Amino acid sequence: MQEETHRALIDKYLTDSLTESEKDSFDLLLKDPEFKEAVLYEKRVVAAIKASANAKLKAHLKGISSNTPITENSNTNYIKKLWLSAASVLIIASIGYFFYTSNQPISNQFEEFYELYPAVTIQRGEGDEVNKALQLYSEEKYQEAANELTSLASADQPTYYLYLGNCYLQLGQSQNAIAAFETLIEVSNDSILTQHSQWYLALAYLQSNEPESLKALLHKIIDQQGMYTELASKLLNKID
Amino acid sequence: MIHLDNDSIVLRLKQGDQSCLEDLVVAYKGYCVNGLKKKTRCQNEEAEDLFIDALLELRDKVLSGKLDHLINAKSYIFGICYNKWLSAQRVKNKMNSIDAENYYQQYLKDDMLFESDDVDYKMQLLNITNKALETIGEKCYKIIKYFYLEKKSMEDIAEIMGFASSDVAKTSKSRCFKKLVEKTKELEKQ
Repeated sequence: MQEETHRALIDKYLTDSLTESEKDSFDLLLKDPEFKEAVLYEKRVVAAIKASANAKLKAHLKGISSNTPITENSNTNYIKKLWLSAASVLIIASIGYFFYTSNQPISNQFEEFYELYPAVTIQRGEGDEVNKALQLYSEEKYQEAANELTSLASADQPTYYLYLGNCYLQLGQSQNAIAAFETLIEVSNDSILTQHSQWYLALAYLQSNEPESLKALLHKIIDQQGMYTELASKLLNKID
Repeated sequence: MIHLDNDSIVLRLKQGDQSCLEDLVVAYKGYCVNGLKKKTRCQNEEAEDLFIDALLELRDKVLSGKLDHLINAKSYIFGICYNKWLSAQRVKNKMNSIDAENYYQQYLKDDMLFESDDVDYKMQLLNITNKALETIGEKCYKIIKYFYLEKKSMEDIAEIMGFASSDVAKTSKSRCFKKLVEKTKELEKQ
């Protein structure tokens, strides 16, 4: 019986499914060197199985990938030409613009740096409420989307705070946006979601002309060396 | 153009549906590889490698229960790709050299139990386990894979494998895993 209980605990440990109370019992058992040795060994074996399976799967997916052409954006060449022809005009204009912007509030930089978090247009399989909220978001009906998202966003579904905050940014309601992104940072334990929320929080500070909070957050983003580091450095240079 | 809705991606990955990863390769390779090349100036091969590793990480997150809801799969996968590139830059470790040994180290690196262990020994065990896996038979390999890798329930395993009940599946799993561990220990002594 005891052996069966131990086996069940080890299996749960190996599949990352121990509950908090089971974890306590498991930690106590680990004090027994024999038990610990058995667990150590099995953990390595399972890791080895996973690693081998991953390597095989990767080789298979690379085969699929090698037969999948990389589609280029058809507008790329056109856009390049457009940029080249516009470059000379931009250079001249930017000289004058520099003198103009040096006396402007920092929120003037918002439009340059803000890019809406991408909308999802088709959400088959989602609940009706979710469908409606994201549909409204993709249709740029931000006030109505915000009303829907307010009831959807929660610690269990933190991603909706990202959409909600973006709705508020679109509506120019910076303080509401700040609250949404701050909540997201607090409840999210996903590093990617946290990075998105930090960047959008910075943009909310930018929109509401809060240079001190903005600079502190930009320094934090830069120090983390994450996906928004480059943009954060660029923005910091602009407002410093 | 393949359309993948977010919930079905999570569901299919949870069910261990490998074709979902293949669909993700076809659907998002262009977006992620082009995006990475543009954003990081990395080469095609490196971008492709990062993209596939990102898909494997996505699958791991779903299987471990750390991710059970996706809102924008494309952006999420690209986010993983970019983070992987940043990590690779930080440790000056080229991701295109990733293979079973690297995955093995990744799986064990955060495990407190392994702090004081000998790395060479662990790597040796990887090869030994691979050899042992070849000796336990297809049926045992499948049961172990379903339980430890895909985290399927005993009920599901019983249904897939055609066992009479979940108890039979549980007994078979225990027997197969014991067989694998014993075989590994035996090979280790040689």
